[in-house]
Amino acid sequence: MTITLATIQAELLAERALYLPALHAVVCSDVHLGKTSTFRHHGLAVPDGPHITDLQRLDALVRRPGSASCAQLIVVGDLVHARHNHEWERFAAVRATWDNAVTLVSGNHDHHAMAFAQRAGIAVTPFLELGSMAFVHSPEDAHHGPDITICGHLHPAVVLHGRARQKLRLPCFWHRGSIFVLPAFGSFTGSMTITPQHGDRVWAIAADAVHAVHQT
Amino acid sequence: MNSVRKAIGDWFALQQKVPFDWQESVWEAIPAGRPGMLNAPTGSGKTYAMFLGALCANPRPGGLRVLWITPLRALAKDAVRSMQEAADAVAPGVRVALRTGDTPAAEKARQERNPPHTMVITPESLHVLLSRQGASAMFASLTLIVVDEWHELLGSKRGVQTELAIARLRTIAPDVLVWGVSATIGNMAEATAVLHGRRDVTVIRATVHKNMERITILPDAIERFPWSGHMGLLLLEKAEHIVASLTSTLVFTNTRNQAEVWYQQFLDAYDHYAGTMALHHGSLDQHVRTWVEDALHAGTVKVVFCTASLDLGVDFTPVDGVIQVGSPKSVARYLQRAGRSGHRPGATSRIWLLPTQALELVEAAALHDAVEAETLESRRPILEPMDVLVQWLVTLACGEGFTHDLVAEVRSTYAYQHLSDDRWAWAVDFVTRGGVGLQAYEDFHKVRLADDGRYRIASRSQALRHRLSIGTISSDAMIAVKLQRGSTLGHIEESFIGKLEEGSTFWFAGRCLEFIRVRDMVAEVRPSTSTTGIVPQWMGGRMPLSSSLAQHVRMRLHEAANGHLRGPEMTCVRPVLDVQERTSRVPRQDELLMEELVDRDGHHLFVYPFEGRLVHEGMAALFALRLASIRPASYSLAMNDYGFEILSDSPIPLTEALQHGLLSTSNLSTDILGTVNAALLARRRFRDISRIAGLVFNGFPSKQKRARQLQASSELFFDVFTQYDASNALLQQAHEEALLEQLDEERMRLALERMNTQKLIRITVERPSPFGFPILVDRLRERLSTEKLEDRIKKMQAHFVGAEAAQALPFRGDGPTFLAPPKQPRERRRRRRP
Repeated sequence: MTITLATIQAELLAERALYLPALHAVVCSDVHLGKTSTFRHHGLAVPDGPHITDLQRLDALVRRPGSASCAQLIVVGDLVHARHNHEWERFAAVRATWDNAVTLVSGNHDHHAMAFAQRAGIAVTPFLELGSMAFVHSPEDAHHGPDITICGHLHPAVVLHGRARQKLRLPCFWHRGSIFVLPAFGSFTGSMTITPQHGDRVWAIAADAVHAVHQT
Repeated sequence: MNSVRKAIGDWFALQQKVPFDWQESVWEAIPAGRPGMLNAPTGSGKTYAMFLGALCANPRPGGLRVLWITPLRALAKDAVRSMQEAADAVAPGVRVALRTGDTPAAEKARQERNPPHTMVITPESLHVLLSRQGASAMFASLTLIVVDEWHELLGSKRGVQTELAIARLRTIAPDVLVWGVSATIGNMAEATAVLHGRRDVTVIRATVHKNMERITILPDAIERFPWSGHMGLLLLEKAEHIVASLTSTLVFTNTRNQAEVWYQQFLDAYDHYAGTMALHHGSLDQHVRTWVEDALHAGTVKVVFCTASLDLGVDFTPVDGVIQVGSPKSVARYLQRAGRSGHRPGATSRIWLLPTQALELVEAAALHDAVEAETLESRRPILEPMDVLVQWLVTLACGEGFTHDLVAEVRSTYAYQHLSDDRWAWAVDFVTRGGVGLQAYEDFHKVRLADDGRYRIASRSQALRHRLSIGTISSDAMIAVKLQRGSTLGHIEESFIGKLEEGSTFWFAGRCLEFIRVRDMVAEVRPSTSTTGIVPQWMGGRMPLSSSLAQHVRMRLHEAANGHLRGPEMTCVRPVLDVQERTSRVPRQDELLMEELVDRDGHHLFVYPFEGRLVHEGMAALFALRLASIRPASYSLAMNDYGFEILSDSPIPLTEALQHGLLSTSNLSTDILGTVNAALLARRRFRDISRIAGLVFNGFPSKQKRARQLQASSELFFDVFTQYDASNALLQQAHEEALLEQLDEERMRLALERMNTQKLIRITVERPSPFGFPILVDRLRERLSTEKLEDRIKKMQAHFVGAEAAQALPFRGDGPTFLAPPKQPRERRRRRRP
């Protein structure tokens, strides 16, 4: 689904990412690499599957064919979950096959990842500004100035209500004023229910499609 | 007769008491080395029967001889007190000690250095002891295990924990004798078999006859009495009259929230009770509860508002009356609570049932019938819970380790007697390799095969974490509530605390508190002068109507429909039943009532099988599935003990569905499995399972930091298992539990067969009937849909745009930062001063 953020064209992807045609950039947030392994290391027996499908999804995004090709991948924070483990290396191996730039706007989970990022060819910055767009991890770190600030951190989800007291909770993109919040990319991550306010725009992700759900 | 028997005789004579015959039978049976089951109610003298019997067999100190397992901590303290008293009189030198989660560390260490003769312990604390090195040495001298209030443990996972621990102790001390003590339940023989297997057992029945007075408090104006609700505060004044007329009263409520609200409202309305009233429930801190219990013994409190926390235990002699707020939902619970009063010799137990809604009057009448017909409920033992087994393996790995030989011991329990080799292998695999078959397991750290060939815990921190989690069976993440300068008041679910903001006020432990902050699993509060505040709601809460009682309710309604109104309750509720009969119908024994209603919410279908909430949960899902197979639709479901409601945004194809076998019992099992709802119920079941199996870690108590990077909700685990490890035995268990307890095929089949023989009465109502109203207003709903996700979203979108804009969000500072506000908990009841 194509939308306009300030004056900038953007495409919302059901893979829980954003595509910016002007920059040929794929933007995602809160990947939480290594979360399942961290759990397993501490004796919490979660299956190893989620991170493998997450990596496949990311790889497919970066290798988007045609005009919407990806020249750079921007992760707005929490690329990794905790300490180094084999999931990071698997990511590094996949990253080595990409010839585009990867930028990590560091988030609260990323302080362990500095040396790893350098080794894996990932540029790390606490704050990124490209033209009139800014990229930060948490909405709380946004500054006045840029037309639009893209961030993550919140893992937003929206609850839809229908007649006959139907209810549905879905991960979502959330736009308010000059702030745009991405859903968490990692599938083994929780989410936080947001309360949209008058003027907000919200797009929910259901199965393999993005739906605009709140527009006024 | 040995010297102890003589001493017992003297001691009884000194107190001018004569032992009962059944007590003497126990004193014969234990020294004779016969295992047994004592069937005796609370407060019958069963503690003396068992403990003095134990002393007859083991009169001298020296090592740990007797283990006394009890379900409640509150109980344990009283048991120790009276046992030590008896020991001092008949077997000097015998020491009785208490071991629960509240026992101070110094006392625990002392017990390990110098074990008491008798140890009173909860199943959780017993598991913690068995998770230590040296457990074998400590229990090697054991000669007797007494499982007190076995009926209370049976039917819960704590019962399975008890079975496993006893199997272990039988291995450590092969000659140990086991005795159970249980109140009468519907399946006594099964209860005995769970504890003893096929052993030859002596069953002794306490013959205690007690007079009981059962009264129902009737509202003066039934016309103004609500059709739904659960607080019953309209009858506050009548309750006060009863309290005023008695020496000491226990007011039982069904939830902790109700107890808190009643306490406040009572104090508000009758402030001269200040200082002589108290609150007692499971979330309050031990020292608060102990204070209340002591005051009850001493007779210095006039009224105590309490929950199931005071169901069991030794008697509070001064208590001469009990008020039960709301239907007790089960005959056994009603009798148990009634029995908490009237303990002087020759005294009468008195219970007043205080209805909270009109139809509870019918339940009150049905209770009388059930008591007279002695229809007591059964407690079904839990079979093969994999979460408990996984927890047990880690428990043993923390201590002396285990080998594959352990499987024989595990299979010697009732719960795991049919445990397959596959499931055993899965459980071992789960704790050693993280249970993922071919996937990466090198990095999994929990239990590992040590050099001596035994499975042992991988690290000390794992062991520490595991011991902390043993106690969390069936309790949510709890946060301690502590006064900023002062003591801990008790514990509240984290989910409630999470909704509080700094400065917001709430009611707890009978006081209004201002929330300051949460630090390291402790919520700091200060007393507040505010008079408004929310009352926390704890999880759990809703107890379903037992099927024994449901049957009597159906009978009473049948009688009423035929103009036969027995007893004051039915006479009182008559106007409500008249409204039901006028606007719809009071179903006769041979009738099945369905009501259809259209309002702005959509199309409602109400069905009234009167089978109790649990069965209705499954049946509503079954109906919804069968309706939706005719035409794709989205349904929301609600239910109570009398019936269930199916709500849809489009007309419900009832006629068609009835022709296609809506009530049919064919394809029942496939249909039950097919209900989307089965997945939802399983998801809910998984909450407890993931905690017991040690997947969800709630962090370390106090001082230590919360392990944030290890937190994930059980929901997330459920999804990940479903997607990546569908054969996971814990996941399967969640589905099995849902099937067994809520979607019980056998009960559903019986109910459907009965409904098939009934005449179907279909009535279109203009507005909800008295039967339908309480279901309609219920906010707890299940949902089921066969529509495509995309179609559902489109419908909802149309609905969403029209919705009112949400409240403004607080912006912090002057930057454009924002965060969603914490959800405001719904205010349930404001406190107002007159």
